[in-house]
Amino acid sequence: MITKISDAAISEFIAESEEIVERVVLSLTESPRKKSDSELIRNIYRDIHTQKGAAQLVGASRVGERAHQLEERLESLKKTTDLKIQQAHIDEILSTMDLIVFELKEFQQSRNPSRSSGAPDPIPPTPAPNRMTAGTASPAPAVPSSDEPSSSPEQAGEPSGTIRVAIPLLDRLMSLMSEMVLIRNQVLQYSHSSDDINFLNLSQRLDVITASLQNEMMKTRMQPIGSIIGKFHRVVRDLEQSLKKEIHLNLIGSETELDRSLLELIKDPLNHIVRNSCDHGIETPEERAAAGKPRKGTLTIKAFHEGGQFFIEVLDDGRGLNRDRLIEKAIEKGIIRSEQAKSMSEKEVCRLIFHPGFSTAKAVSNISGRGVGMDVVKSNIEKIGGSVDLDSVSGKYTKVSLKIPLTLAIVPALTVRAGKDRFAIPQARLIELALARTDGQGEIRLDSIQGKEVLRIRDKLLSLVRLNEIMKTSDLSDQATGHELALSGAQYVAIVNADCAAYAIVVDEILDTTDIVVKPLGRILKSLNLYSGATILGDGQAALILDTNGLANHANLAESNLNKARDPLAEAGLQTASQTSKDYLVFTTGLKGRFALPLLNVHRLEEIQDGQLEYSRNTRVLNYRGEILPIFHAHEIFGGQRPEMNGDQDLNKRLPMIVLEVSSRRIGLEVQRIEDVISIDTRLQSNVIDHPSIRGNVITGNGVIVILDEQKVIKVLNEKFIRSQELAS
Amino acid sequence: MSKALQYTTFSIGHDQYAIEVGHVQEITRSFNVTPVRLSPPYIKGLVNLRGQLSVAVDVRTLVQDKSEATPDWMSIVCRREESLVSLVVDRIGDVIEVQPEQIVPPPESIGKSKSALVTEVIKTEDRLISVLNFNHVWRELCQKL
Repeated sequence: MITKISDAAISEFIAESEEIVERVVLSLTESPRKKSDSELIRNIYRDIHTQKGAAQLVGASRVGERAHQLEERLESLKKTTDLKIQQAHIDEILSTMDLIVFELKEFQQSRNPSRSSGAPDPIPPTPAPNRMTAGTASPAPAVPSSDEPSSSPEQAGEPSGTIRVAIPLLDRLMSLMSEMVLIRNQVLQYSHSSDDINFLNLSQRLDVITASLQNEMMKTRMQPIGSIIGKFHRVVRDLEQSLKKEIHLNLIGSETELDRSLLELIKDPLNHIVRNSCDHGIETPEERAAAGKPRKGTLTIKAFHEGGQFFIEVLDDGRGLNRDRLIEKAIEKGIIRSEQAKSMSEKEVCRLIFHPGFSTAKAVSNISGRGVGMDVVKSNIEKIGGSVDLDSVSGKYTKVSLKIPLTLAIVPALTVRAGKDRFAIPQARLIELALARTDGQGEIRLDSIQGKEVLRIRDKLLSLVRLNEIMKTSDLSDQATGHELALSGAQYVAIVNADCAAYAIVVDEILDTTDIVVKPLGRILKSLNLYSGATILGDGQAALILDTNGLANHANLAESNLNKARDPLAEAGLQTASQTSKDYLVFTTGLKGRFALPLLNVHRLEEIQDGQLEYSRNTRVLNYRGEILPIFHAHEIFGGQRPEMNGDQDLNKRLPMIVLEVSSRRIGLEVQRIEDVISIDTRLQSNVIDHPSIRGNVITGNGVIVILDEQKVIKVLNEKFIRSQELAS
Repeated sequence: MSKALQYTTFSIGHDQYAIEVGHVQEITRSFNVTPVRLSPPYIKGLVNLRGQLSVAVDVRTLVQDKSEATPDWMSIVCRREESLVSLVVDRIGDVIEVQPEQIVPPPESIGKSKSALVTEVIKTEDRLISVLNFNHVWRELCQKL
């Protein structure tokens, strides 16, 4: 199975192993010992386990075996209550460590046969329990290295040496690096206007060296994915036992590298996918045999690079997704309607499992953080600019593919100007750049429907945002390019992609396409949810990176505008993008009537118990995945009295709750009952609106439904929350 | 004597303020600020501080001082949770040593929201200095949005 493992992976393995050996030996031999006996054993157990996994990963099977033996021994020690470590235990562990060190050397030499040629065949040291005594000053077992002095000169010169460097140091180097790139840019700019040949030469060299320095520097951020997927050996083995299944784990491309910070971020989603595959994908041996498959299921995790992106696929040869069951469940949860189901493609059905609310309704335990649904996997991956796809054939396989950008630190982006300001739009969000005519001619032109500007591009209509208007940027006094274009009847538009749909951004000028260094915004500005980060442009000035989702939300594109723009679209018989923004969740509140909120803004549906709630001053709050979620009752939107509810006093009573999310702000809305999801095709009637939080009414087969304005609801309740905090303080 | 605390003083309009030296990373002159559109009025913008981005915060707006802003302002750069905050002020004064007994609570009369940020007042022989509590400022900045 192990075909090709890079030298880099091997040397990392050796370095990690040496570190583990050193740590274990030191922890056993230091005196007095810093840790309690059981803690000590637990720590060693963990280390040895890592060692075993790593060894299996690179194919150092004999190292793995030794580690496995020791692990088993430690496991039995771990179970001993009131464990007192005896000298005999220490000796036993130490001598096994010696064997591991020996096997390590062997393995290393087998990888580099040329280097070890001529070295005498090392003799495995016989375990000598009494050689190592507690309190020995030297922590390093003086075993095989001393057996082969002849090879040492060559080995000392080996280029594979690694050292460990603190991550903050690397980060500082990185930011110094990006600053140097900026200075280089300024020097180059200056050199264009200089005649000094020496200066020109020097700036050329500075340019070349800075570029290669940047290149090498970026590599320090990269780490092989093996450090994460290697751990799945253990996960899968444990699952095999608890699920009574037989699963063979096949790792391909463990040495594929990815930015360290991204590795951290895909760890949990990946873990969830793997567990899902073992749990729901792969069948029991009996089922498999009955279906004519080998008893042992295969789970393949494959990582590779393609087109400047990182891919990781989790493929199981299990039962696949069952279309009918998915649809049944989706209808039951109110995600789709039965008549919708018939027209859904295989792909669309598969994607249902990414729908928020699909895996949740019953899962109150989600609150306590037990697990996450696939919707969370999806949103987490999308947060880092990646995407998730799922492909399955019932009875055959399920494949989940993640596509991740190689690094978050440097992304290609388009710089545009709006008024005096410059903004960056990540290339990943950009679909197309166009010059739209304003004189009503041509394939791409600005048009308007019911007073709303839209972009007509070929045979599609897109909603439109004027960046300078929405950002309220100050006008450039000499609107050179923008103005001329406007006069000549054209405008630059960037067509971008957001979760809800594609839309167009009108900008004054297109400046540049470059790789930009992305800087995080920090806590203060993050919550604006309009920018995904910031960068420093070539002239040293900071510029903000637009978050196309945030901008769409801010411009209210998600629902109102798009809906308005869509009605005539539908009349014209044109294809509209997604249906979801017309879907509403209907619920009752204990107040008269039925209410509805756009499904797009319903983050999740939860059930909570009064006993789980805590109070922040006068507001009920819930610890919701590490975030404080204020909980309101629907009557608070309208400022009225709380209606009587049955069983109010019962702390164990389960309350249905809607987690409403608008522009990443979340609140919990306690309701009486979740009724239905309806799709509203007709226009809202706005003649009876007796509260600002109401957007309008619709008439359905079952009577009138009050459609709430999710923006206002969040606003009203948030203000209430803040006010109650202030009053109390 | 050993308990003396150090404060960096600065001024906004006619008022004197101080901030604990411990919060201050450095002092910089006025610089090129990139405005952050649609942010609250007290966010002046983003600043490139030798390759790191810092959020420039207009202290004048925070403490609700109505006086005219000066064109050549200064900034006090503070670091918190890996974020840099540049407090934009009119002028920077000295670093002063203060004995604990010189520090008193602020009088009731200064505005409510102002007093949330000014938690103490330093009495010196010739003047009164409001102490800007950076912890409160930070909390305010993180909460407000």
